[in-house]
Amino acid sequence: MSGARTVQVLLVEDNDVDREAVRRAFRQHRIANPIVAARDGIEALGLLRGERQPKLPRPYIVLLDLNMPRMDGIELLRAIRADRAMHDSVVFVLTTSKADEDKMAAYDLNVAGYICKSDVGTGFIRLVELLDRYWRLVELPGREP
Amino acid sequence: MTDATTLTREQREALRIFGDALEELRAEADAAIVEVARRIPVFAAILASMDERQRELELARSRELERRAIHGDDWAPYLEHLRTQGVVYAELGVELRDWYALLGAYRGVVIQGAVCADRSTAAAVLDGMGLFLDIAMSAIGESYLATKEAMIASHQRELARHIRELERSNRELDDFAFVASHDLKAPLRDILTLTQWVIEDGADALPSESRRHLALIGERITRMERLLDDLLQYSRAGRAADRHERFEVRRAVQDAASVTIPVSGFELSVSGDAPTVRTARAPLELVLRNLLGNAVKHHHRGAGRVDVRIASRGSELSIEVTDDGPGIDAEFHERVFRMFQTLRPRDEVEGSGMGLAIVKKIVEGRGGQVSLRSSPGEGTSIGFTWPTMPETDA
Repeated sequence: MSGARTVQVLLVEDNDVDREAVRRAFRQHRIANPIVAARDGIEALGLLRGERQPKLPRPYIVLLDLNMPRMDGIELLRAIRADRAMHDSVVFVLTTSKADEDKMAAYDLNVAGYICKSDVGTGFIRLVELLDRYWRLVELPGREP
Repeated sequence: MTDATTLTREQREALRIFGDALEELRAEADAAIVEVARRIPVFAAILASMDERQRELELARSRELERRAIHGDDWAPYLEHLRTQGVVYAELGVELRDWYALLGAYRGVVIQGAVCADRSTAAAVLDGMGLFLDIAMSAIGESYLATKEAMIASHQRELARHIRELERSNRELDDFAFVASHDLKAPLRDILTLTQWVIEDGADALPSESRRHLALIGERITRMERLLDDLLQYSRAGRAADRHERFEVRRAVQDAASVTIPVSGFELSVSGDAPTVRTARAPLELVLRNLLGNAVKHHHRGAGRVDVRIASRGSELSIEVTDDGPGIDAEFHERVFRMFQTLRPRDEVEGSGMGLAIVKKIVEGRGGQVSLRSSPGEGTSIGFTWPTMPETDA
């Protein structure tokens, strides 16, 4: 088992329905891990850095949409990788885009996985299954570097 | 002009690729000139009478002429057009002695001409014009030549304008297709999700009539997603960017059949030639998938035969897909190739009505032709021709 603390999910997604879909899928599968939501890259950075709000505690994983207003997913990834305090974050991309250039850009920035929304099945079932297994088995980065 | 030192890494890389492409273009232009000349009877006779050494000299000359024929400032943008449009444009200028059977003598002649050929097939001539000048009549010829050159120049300008216009409208279509496929699909998917939640959460509370209506909303959304997907495929069809590869045509047919023809109920037979060709495989398979899929989808019995006949003549392939389905009335033969056209209600046969429109666009975009033979009760036979790259090695 990974550390004593529960893994938090930072869900960065501008679409209300998709945000609710992830929450709903967690509820239906009785997964109690807390979900913290941000609607774009700037909100997410605020949470990760603890600007004017409590900082998101470790361990966490990030579920990241690509197309978002103000600061998109790739821009947020760049900011995360450039910041010594959080460059080790585990990030999964969750997007509608199947474009090769998006995939390449995301893996270039060392994402843990690139997931297409259309492939995760009705109600995000396969996404929830994947995450549940993932954090049961995978040791996530603990203390801040 | 940008100074080379201020270029980004990407720009320098683009320049390098451009340089390679130019080299390739030059080599292909030579081949295209000979190929084109062969198709014009007068040139063909000359080529046949020239020996190898002479022909090489003429080609070297024509290459030089090609460079000189265009204003120095226009040369780079012109080549860029050729590169992006996948077109080889070559100026043919040859001076030689030609046998005049009527006079029983040789006379000096100049052949002036311009050819346009598709880069992907090198030999498929898109456009060409030629002029045969008797040097002895050059007093008249000079002014004639000047007029012709002016005409050619004006044709070139016209062509360049058309290319620019085409590029602009292609870009717009691309943008539209992206908006249609992505931005319109996202809210559609949301509606689908929300509908499913209503069904999940309120199944017991809802009257059965309302549950049925919600299910219908779901079906309609799925249908609209397919329409948008196919619209995107249509707009992308026929782009020259597809990779060329060498493969057996029968394999491509089998691959297309494996995803379209069900294991039970339908029998597939492949007959005729078994050529190995060099061409863009992905669009060819897309055409085959559409034709085979139609044969199955529109069959009135849900079981039957699909025959694929392959014929290979020189650098052209012709394939015919025949089914023993219900057939199509002659009055609809033209309509079936139009966008979003179906002959039966979408509630009976699910389909966007884009399949044959995509087939036609891909095939004609590559210089081929689609033909349809069918009548009610007689099955349907759809054939198409497909130019391939000439095989250099036997």
